[in-house]
Amino acid sequence: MSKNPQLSPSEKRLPDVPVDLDAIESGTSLWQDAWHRLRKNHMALISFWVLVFMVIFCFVGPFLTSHDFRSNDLEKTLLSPSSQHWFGTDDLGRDQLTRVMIGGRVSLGVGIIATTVSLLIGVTYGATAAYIGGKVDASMMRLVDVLYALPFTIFVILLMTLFERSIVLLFIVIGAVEWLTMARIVRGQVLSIKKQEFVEAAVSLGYSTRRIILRHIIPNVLGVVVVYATLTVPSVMLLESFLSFLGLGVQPPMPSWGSLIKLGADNIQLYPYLLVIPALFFSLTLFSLNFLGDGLRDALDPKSSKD
Amino acid sequence: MNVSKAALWRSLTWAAVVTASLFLSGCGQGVPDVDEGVERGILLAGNGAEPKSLDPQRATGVTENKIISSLIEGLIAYHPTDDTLPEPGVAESWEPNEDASVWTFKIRDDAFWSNGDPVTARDFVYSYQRMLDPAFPGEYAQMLYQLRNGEAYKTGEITEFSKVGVSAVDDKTLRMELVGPTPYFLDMLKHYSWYPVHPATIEAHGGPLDLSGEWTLPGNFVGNGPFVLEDWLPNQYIRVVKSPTYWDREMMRLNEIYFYSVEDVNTEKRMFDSGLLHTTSTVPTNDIPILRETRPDIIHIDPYLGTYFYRLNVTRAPLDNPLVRKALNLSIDRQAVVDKVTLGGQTPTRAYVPAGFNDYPTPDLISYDPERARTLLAEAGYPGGEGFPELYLLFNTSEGHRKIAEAVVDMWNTNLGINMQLENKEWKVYLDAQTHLDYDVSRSGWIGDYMDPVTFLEMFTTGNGNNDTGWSDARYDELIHKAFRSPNQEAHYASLLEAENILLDELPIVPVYWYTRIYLQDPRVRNWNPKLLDNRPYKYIYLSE
Amino acid sequence: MFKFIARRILQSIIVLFVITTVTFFMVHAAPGDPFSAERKMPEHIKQRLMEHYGLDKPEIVQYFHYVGSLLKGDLGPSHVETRSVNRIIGTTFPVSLELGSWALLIALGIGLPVGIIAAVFRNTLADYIPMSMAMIGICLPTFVLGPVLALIFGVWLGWFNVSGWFIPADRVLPALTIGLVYAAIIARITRGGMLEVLNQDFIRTAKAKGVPFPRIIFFHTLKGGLLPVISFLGPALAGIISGSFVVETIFQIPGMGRQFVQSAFNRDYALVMGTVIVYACLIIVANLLVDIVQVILNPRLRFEDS
Repeated sequence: MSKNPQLSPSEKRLPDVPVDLDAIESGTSLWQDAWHRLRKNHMALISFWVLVFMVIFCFVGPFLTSHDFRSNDLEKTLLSPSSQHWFGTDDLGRDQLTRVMIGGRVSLGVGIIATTVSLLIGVTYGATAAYIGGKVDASMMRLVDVLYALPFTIFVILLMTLFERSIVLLFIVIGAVEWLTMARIVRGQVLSIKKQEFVEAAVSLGYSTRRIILRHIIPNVLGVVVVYATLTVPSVMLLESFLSFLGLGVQPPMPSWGSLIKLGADNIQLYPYLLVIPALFFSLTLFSLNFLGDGLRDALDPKSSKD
Repeated sequence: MNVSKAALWRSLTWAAVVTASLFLSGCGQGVPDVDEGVERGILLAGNGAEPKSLDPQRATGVTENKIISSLIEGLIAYHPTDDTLPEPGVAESWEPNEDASVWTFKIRDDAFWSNGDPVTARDFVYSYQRMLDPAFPGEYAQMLYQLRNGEAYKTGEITEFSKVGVSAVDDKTLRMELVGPTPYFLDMLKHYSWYPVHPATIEAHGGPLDLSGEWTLPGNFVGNGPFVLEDWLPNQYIRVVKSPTYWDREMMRLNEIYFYSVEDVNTEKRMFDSGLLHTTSTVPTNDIPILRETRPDIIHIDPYLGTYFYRLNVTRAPLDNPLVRKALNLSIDRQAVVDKVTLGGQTPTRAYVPAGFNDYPTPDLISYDPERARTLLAEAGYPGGEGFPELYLLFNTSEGHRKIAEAVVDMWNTNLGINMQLENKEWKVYLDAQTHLDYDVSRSGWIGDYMDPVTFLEMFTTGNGNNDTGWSDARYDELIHKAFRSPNQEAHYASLLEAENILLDELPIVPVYWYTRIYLQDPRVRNWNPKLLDNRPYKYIYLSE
Repeated sequence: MFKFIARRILQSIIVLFVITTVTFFMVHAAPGDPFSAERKMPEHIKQRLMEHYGLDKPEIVQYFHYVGSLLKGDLGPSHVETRSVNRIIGTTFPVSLELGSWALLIALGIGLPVGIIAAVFRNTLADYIPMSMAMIGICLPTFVLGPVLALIFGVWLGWFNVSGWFIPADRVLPALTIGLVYAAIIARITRGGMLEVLNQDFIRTAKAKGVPFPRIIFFHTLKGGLLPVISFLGPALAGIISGSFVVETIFQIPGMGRQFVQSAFNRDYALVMGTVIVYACLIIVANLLVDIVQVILNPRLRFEDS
């Protein structure tokens, strides 16, 4: 039994919340142990702080630079990095440092929000389908097949014209596509877990389906989900850059790391800094997300050991 | 020992074998490189997007025209150096009547189709009947409205083609009666909408109204030009080879042309750099200044008959106020756009119709004067930009358009104190918005079809499908109508000049710059001369060290 | 098992039907039409074109007409290109298939071994270095990797053509561009899956019993490690094979990926439908295969349809 001094005050604060022995037993200790393990993982910690830096860099940074990401200066186009422009200027004379920061806001925002959306929808959908099984599972997965096969480009074009261009729309569009694979992966995982003994035990104990899914199945699927989520964020950010490549991404003059990298890729030979710097930030962020994800997965896996 | 290690080794070995075999089979080119091209007289040209159709009566684009003009020759061909001069093509001589409203052409005796049939005047009659058939969707059919009763036949007003002003006097003599005096008719005839098609081939593949395009495929295509169609690999290349029946083949030194359909400009540049192309269709913008400095031998910048401009939707306030439109025109620093943004040696516009026509006195009415612009804006009721609504500048997805749009919007906002925004729409949505006047300001461009200013000015007549601004002026319409029927060149130009002055006073558009053709070319390509319409006769071109 | 397959095929036909219908109406709902161009066509000429392709009829009528010819195997004439849709897909699909196969080979050939090694030698250099390099594959979009490879190996070193699909060696750079990205993803998934299994009790039991380690890897762990990869490969296969628009554009490859995107931009209704249907069939087949293999590999699963 775990001693958790925090429990009593919270209990007292919310007397109408029934005390759930189940939660006390498995919920808290799992997370606490996980936190301990995570803190010992150096790579994960470093990654965490890198990400924190990124967020600060992108969301606070623009207030600190003396340039606006929008102001053109046609006399100062395509300058290499210098003391006045740490990251150089782009082809319209705009300060790259500020644009990388603003671009980061868009990319990080899209990455996190869209991934979260797709995660929530995908995990619930996939787990439910797999757990219920049978015809319901079959039809749910066939629906996923249908949605998967629909032409993404047309879908995006349609949405863009029906709802005007906005960043929020971008989130929705991307999130709406990514959940499909997540659902499929989760379903596969749940199918194998479903057969294990502890689940059968829970069933025979008479727990409700919802409770079994939420309390027993999902925590055990977390490992794969976390790994796949850390693959989804880069996928989402790349999807955003692909949309920029097609001209369906954010509206200019708003930059995103995707559109900045695209501009850089077109100018590799002559102005490599246009590619290297945004790509560096992009990659660093993704690296950190992945190592953090690995760390989370290791920490959350109840069976993982240090040998 | 180690099953996993064995598996690992197995996959590695296999990968190595596969890779090695790829390398080995890589010996041999598949397509010629530039050196082989020079040796064997094969021109390797980057041609931009994949052509939609090789039927001269259905094609609409520059990329298609480049290929079609190698396969088919019209009455008048492209002159090697001067686009204002006519070059005898299928017609070896011609004679207008006194007021240039009736033209008689003598077709040369040694003009043959690629299957051996002689080219006759009746072939032209057949071709024009096809183009003017009410059921035939030829997008440039309007060019043939210059023929007497051409429009009437097309719209179904009359049903006998014999009433249309084209007839075969005999096998080798073609007579065309026009709606009025047309001194520039020979220029019009250079356009591919006037090219002949081979009647027997058309008939053998479904007839004139068949839209499958079967007849244009290699193996079926019959043309009368210097080259014949040999291969059409979609999204890769179109290959044409020297025609065995072309009347002037003796002087030709080029044996084959590969037209590569490369859409991505950076891919095209890489192809050029690695020796796969002799000439490209364009150059990535940011590379231009450095290339001009370091490799002036390969980069070419030729003036091109086209205008880059923005359309203004005059049906929407405040763009319905001519003062506002003038203010917008006066507050763009076009020189800066050309020097810093487009980088391609373009010319800032002084008018709308590009300079370059003989004797046409290009007006000088467009300039950069932000002070005056602000005064006019204040006069219009928006001092300092106050109260000016937030307008959107619409453009279709493209790096080039985006860059210019961002620069121009910034200039407007800075100089006038307004708050213009950008709106980037996908191609078809953009076209749709422009057609339905669902925009404020829209990026546009226009390339001349032939060497006469009327091809730029007629689009702004009332209700013209290419107007798209909602602007209408009765006097303008009158002048254009008159120009199509002017008795001589001077009267023709006088009407057009007056019309253009009206246009430049009312300003339903914001002209920005006059185009240039920028491309890279191997110095071993000879006889390639800069042409205002970028149309060149391939028969004169050759390759040599 | 055969009952399972039969049932799935029946379901697949329904799925295909739904996809066809939804896509059809989606495509027609997008603003624009196949014939709009910078130079406007006179109205009556446009009208002729619409009539010729049957686009002037009400959408429902067009839909039934399309399904009718679809059932006969005719995907219709392209509204924009000169060739028929059947012919276009017939020539572009094999190209994408070939490109996809090479990419898949590279992806599996690099990804699986790297993932396995990283899992086995977890948390050592043999884990960090390959996985970091794998990260590069995930972090770089194809529209960066492609031009970089083309620049280095095509222009500077001259070992390969920078574009084209003419000789066997032309396959290398584009396949690498796609393959490296998927190799990285497969490496990560393999590692993850293998670690899941390696941590389980029965592995520890086997170790305690003295079973030689390589044997543990191959016989016991690999299957478990492969499962998530196969789960992932299902949809990814269809994606790789139906072609990558970006790679095909950069390397001038006449594949179906380009058609997939271009036809949407051109509003070439027939070609959009054709490519979507082919893509849908691919996905359905790939998923079916994946589900079958999953059950074979994991006997604890049954064919989950009853």
